[in-house]
Amino acid sequence: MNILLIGGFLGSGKTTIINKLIHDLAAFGLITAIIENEIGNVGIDDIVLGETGIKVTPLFGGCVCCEISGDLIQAVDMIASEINPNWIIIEMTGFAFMDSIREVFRKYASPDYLIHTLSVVDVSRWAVFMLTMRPVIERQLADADVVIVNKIDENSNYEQYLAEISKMSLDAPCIPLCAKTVTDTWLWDKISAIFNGDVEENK
Amino acid sequence: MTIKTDRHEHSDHCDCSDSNCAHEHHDECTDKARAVVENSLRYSDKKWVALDAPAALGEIEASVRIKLLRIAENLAVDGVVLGHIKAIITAGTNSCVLSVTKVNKADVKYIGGWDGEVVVREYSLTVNVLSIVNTELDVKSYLM
Repeated sequence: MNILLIGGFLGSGKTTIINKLIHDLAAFGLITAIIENEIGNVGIDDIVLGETGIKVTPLFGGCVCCEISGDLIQAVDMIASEINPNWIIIEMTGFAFMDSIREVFRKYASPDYLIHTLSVVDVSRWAVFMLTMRPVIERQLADADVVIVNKIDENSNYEQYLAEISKMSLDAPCIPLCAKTVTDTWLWDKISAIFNGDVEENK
Repeated sequence: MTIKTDRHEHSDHCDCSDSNCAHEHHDECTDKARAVVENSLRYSDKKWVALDAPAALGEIEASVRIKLLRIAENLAVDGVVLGHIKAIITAGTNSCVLSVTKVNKADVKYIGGWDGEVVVREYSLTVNVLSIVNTELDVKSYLM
């Protein structure tokens, strides 16, 4: 079973990306389940994603990378035994660090799970982020297998940041896009090709 | 802790100003990032609103949008919210999701058959606010 960890700072577009991926994966006949982690005690994104008809398991009230990591593994094991989907997509909180969650899986989860990581960057806020909170963004990008550079429609100069983003993600392939307007299956075609080692975007 | 890298080890601290320098991440970097996260503003609340007089969903949406943008003004640097302000208004089976990451703009997504002209007497409002600046902000006072 494949697990896709999706991270990225608050408001970067993770839920919109997941919405696209749910439809893409369904178009390829793949069964998907979602785990939705939110820091708040009351969820919003689980309602948005639940509209797709996919099973959404909420984990609220803390971040799975440091506060409720045990709950995450339990949730994954339960979904694996009940549904055994092709993919479990885990939407991490906007504060989570990818490498910390990968470490949780390495230590406590079944070695049969294949972990893939995707970070989403909001390039329309990138310049301010770099001035105000660079260490946080660096940590969030540091263990990504692929980076989606989102909201390019809101920053016409986004190309000047691609090299910096790629460097922070330790040369992970970057896919620049506007998540709201990508066409059906285009995104999963790109991502799956990268996971399979077939193509490398912007390297 | 050291995260994978094939580049040189930077000699100073991790938040170096050289944008071309890809340095190794050490405990110090992790601590800085964690401190920012742990000291953040975290507001999350859901409430049921019973109106004295019926109101159109469009009016309710506009009212919530204004409140969220006011919160955004208090959590922004150079017009950019260093966090995320989200709300969902639900009336019956229909919902309106508002998302704010900049001071002048709210993204909206409708779920179900949301119709701004429909008049309601009650609705639920869920608001989640996360920010790494102005972490003492009294969010509740902006939602009154």
